Amino acid sequence: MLNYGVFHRNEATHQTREVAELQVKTQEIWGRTPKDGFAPTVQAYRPLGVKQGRRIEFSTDVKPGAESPYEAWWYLGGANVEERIKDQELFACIPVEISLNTQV
Amino acid sequence: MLENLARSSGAPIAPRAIFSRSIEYFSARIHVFVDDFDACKAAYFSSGNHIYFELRKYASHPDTSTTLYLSLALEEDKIISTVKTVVDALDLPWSAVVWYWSEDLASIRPLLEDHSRLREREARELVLKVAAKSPDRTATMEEIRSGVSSFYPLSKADRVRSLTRPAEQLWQQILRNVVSHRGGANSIFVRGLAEKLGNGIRITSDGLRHLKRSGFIP
Repeated sequence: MLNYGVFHRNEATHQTREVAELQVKTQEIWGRTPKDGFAPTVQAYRPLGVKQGRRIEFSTDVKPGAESPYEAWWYLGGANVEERIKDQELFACIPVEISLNTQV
Repeated sequence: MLENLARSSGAPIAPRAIFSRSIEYFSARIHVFVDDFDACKAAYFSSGNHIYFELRKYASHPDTSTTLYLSLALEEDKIISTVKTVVDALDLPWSAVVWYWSEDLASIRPLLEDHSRLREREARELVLKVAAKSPDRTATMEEIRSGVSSFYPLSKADRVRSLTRPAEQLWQQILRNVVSHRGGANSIFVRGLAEKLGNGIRITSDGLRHLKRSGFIP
């Protein structure tokens, strides 16, 4: 059991079935820079955020940089938040253990 | 005094409090977007003493909740006092703060308690907000009821039938009191914030300035 979680990401514009498959395969969650944000950030709902039917659930050993009962944010530059680059776009990345994927 | 901003400052932010009101309660100008996390509604504010904050409601935040985001750079010993400053500036009752930074993340006070009641002070602000959102700055009693019920969470206690006006629920009676009572130091009419119109009100320029101070209108 990892230290932080269980978090979830609901199916949405950027949390597609294909992305969920990749997350399961790599056991990583990547995050872009939020709208008007300053740095790539992984964002997920905490258990009090509404759980939609289609979602992934995960735990991680990386402590969130900020949290509320509804959400958790991991900022690139925060401890153990890794950097990834794809198609010249910078992402934040955290290693996770995915316990549920209903986006199938 | 708050300023309702046309765009985000882009400053790094973090969630620091949750309010039991919908985002439409706080701002007549709502920005809607989709980012990497989810669909979101947001409003951006600054105050004269250099506090910048955002209110957001992501799609899977519970309904009738709004999250307050403060600068990530804000020192920990200033977070709670800044939350209080923001709550005061927004004219929000402290009872509407259901969580703030440093409280347990695993629990939260109920967004809607059976016994919570709309009070006349908050009802006065709601009446003005409904009229301010109308193109001609007026609102009938029916429009006020409809508008308030769309962005204020009504409890069981609010919905109890009035003893003195059996055709109305208590929250409706309180709104009627705001619109009907022309006397009293707190009356929106005595304070020059609204004019009485038949079965409703028109918000005055002083009323609009009043809502501008709490950031409701840009």
